[in-house]
Amino acid sequence: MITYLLKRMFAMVPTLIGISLLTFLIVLMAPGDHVATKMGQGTGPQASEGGGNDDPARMADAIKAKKKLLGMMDELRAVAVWDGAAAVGARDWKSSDRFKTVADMEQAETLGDFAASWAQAVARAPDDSRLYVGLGDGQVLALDTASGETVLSFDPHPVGVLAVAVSPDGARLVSADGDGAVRIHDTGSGALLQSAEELGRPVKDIAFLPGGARFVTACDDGTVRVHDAATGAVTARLVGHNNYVTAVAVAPGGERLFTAGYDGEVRVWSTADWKETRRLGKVSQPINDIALSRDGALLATACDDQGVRVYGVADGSLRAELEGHYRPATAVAFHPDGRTLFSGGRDETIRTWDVTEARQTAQAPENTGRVFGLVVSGDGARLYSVGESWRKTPAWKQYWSWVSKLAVGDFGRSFTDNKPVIDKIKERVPVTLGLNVGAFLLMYLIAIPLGVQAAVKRGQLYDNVTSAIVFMLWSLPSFFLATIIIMYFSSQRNFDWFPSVGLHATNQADMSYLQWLGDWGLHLVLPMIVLTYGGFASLSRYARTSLLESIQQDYVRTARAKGLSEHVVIYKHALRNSLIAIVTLVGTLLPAMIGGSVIVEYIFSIRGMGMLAFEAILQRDYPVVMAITTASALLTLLGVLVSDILYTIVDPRITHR
Amino acid sequence: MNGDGKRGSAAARATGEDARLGGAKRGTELATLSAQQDAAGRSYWSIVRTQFRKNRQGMLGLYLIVAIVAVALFAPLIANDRPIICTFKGKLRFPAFATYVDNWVPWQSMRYALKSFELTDRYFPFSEHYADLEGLSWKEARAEQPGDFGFSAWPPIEWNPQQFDPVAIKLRPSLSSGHLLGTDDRGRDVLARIVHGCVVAITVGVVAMGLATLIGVILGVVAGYFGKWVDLILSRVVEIVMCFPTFFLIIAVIAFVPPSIVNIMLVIVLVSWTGIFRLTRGEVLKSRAQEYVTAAEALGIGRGSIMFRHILPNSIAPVFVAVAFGIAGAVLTESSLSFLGFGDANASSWGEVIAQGRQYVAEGLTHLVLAPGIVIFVTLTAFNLFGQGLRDAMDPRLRH
Repeated sequence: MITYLLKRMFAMVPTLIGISLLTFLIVLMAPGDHVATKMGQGTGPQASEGGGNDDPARMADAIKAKKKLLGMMDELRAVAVWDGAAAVGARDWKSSDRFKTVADMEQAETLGDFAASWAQAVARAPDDSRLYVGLGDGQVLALDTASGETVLSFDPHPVGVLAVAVSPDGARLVSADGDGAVRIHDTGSGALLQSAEELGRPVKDIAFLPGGARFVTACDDGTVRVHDAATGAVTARLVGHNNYVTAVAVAPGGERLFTAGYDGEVRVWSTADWKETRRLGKVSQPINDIALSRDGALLATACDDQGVRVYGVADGSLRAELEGHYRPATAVAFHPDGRTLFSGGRDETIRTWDVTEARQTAQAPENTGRVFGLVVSGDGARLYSVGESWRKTPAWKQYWSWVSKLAVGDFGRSFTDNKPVIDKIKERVPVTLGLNVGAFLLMYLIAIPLGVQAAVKRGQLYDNVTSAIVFMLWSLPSFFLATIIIMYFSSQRNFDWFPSVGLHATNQADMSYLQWLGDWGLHLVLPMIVLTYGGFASLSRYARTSLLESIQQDYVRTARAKGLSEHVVIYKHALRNSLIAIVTLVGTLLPAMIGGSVIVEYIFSIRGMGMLAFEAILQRDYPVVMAITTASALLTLLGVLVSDILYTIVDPRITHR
Repeated sequence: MNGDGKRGSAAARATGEDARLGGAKRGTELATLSAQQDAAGRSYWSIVRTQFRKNRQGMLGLYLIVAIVAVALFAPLIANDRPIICTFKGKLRFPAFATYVDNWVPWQSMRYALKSFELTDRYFPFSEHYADLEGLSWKEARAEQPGDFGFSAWPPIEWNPQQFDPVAIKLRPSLSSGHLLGTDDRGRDVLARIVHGCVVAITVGVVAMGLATLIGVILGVVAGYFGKWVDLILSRVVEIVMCFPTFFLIIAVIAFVPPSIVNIMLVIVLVSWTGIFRLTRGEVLKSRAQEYVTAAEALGIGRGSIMFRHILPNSIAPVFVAVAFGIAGAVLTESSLSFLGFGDANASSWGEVIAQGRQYVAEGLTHLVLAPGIVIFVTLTAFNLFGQGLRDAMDPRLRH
């Protein structure tokens, strides 16, 4: 027997591997972005205070969690460098393939090598020798554009850096973070020169005024502040935006300042008296980024409605409306030629546009990660992009890392409450298993006598009536029956006999044991009815058929000839033999019942495995979904094993060796 | 019918049910018989047809199926807010047919093209005539500009399933209100939703099961004929898919893909081809050992030809029964998914009608649950009766 069990276990191994593979494939199919859209319905990549819905750190964590689950983490994000000249050349690109309307952007190389889930802030040194990057974990780094090495690491911020800017002479670097801390660094030594007073809300963009004596910050409190570059002290406050301010840009001559934010308008301020002079393009869609062409004639906005719009600064006219992104556009940058525009978005693409002709000319390969910042080098030869990404790990590696954890019982942690998944399942399994085993016994207890009686009274009225009823029950959808019986037996309007929510009353703590038991029983009535009725048809028919077969056998005739009573003949001789076939049904009915308990638990609000699965699926709680799917398949395998063992009990002829 | 005959038919039905659940043993006789003709020289399928016609329950199922399929096919002409045929502003038009385009053409550009396509003299049936209606709906046009209509034939239910009737919210079933089965919480006509639910149910049932059958039969024949490692691998795959609780696997997959009818169908295919596979494989394994296969091999007939032209026609009969039950299963799965909220939001599925109506039963609006529920029940019963009748008709032991 034991050797048989071992053998069976061994034979299960390929099946187990297949089960885990299928489960893995299901989750692999789901794009990681689902997590982000679920957790961050908000707009824009920027952080808002207090870890709100559109907090990129939280979104990134959720994505990271999926990647970690699938073994894709420990990834390094680098700054992607794109060939700027080729992007301009794409304007004249003639497609030979009629299905391709835009050219491919060429990725030249990557810079830097740092472990952070996202990077949003990027700025270039005026001489293009360095690139400054602010990371999601608070680091500010200087990268050498030639070698790609990290040459300097600045004093890190406690939270994610959202904006960096370099003074026109290249000597100062200003960085700002999600708490509103603004810091001024020396780019030569990396020393922290000044720490301006905290603004309290995230600062999302910084721009230096020509001359480098002052810089401007865009803050989530709707205010644009002008700071003294030496001390960081606020010298002027520009109030006007009635929502987050996300982007600032300074005209090349320094006479005008452009600001934009979630209120969807670009406001133009005079730098002489800091008065608002004009507004451009009300689109009532949050603007995530703006960019000025080098000559200051055009202004581009990246909007949440996926559009990229270009305005003429002189007359405020809408020059081009560039449509192509299918998620919010998050970053724009002009090429020095003033005609080529780059934009990046949450759709994980970087696109090149010809502003004059208002059409897209080139596109970076998709799935490069969401783009949060773009910078073009002074000569226009290179485009730097930062954002968030992960190196693609081969699927088999991901599978291996997941399954090797699974093998030691590590199901990971739930995304929703960070509890170990195994604990969540342990909590729920007894409920579902109890319900189903109970329903199972009940089903057998009712259906088998029903079938036996039908076989004994074959062809009579009883047989026909039970056949018809059982057949109709078979065709009755469980969710319909459940709704109906709640409607009639658990409502104020009809018969309020049975409770229909959960398995216990809310005041179960105050009950005596007997009361508790009675209450539990009362709660069980309706779910049990719904769980059992569906099995009657197949079980009772099966019992009837196999008993009819047994009755025709010789040994039954012998028993009758011996003069045994009909009762003994049927129940002791014939039935025992016909049970063999019925027992095999355990293996096939169990998976159906566990699957079906999703509906029953959903309707009766029973906190079992089905409900857990349902919630997890809705919340895209991947570890829980994967664990339950695997666990329920395992349970089914065990069910098959149990039915095999039951065989030996009901039929002594079968032995397992 | 005399008493004796009645008795006989009851007994026959009883044994038929025995066969339905009796399973494997019967299959051998069936397969042997299917290759032959009976003494009168009738072919196997003509015997089955005659036998099936004798089965009243099976025939009832068949008639019900025909009725449901007809409702599904003509749904846009049965429940619609546009006339079927009318002359409007001097031209003959067929506005209700535009709904066919909306329902069946998946590409938006093609929908527009079809609907805007005009012939010189009169409009193409699929056209929507927005320009001539001047912003009115057809019903508004009928009420406000009755003079423009020459004659018009309207569908029996003058509502489309998505249309809100703001003056008739939560109406109970009545003959006088114009909503035969009442309306739901947003004033949508329940009968119209049920009629259009037929389209969803029948499409999902037939297409999903058809695809599953195709896959299951082809792989089953291949596995059964070649045996060895081909069989081993395919059988293992089937074993794995069957290990998952069916409905559970379905919602796990459907939650991760956009909820559309096509995806629901594909997921149903994913789980239901395994049953067909096992059935076909078993039948083919039996046929494979028979002389006619050996004879065909001896004649040097190609493997593909042996598999699909010799073995398959002789082994396919039991599959039809499984398909009939499978369609019922697919319809049930689709309505269960919609009930749980994983359905296609743009289609009015029966399950979704129940799910929405469920919230209002406390207010006494029981028709929102009962009407679609009974329709699902009838549909499932129809397919199950048909399947059972077919199984009885194929059982050689029942022939007299």
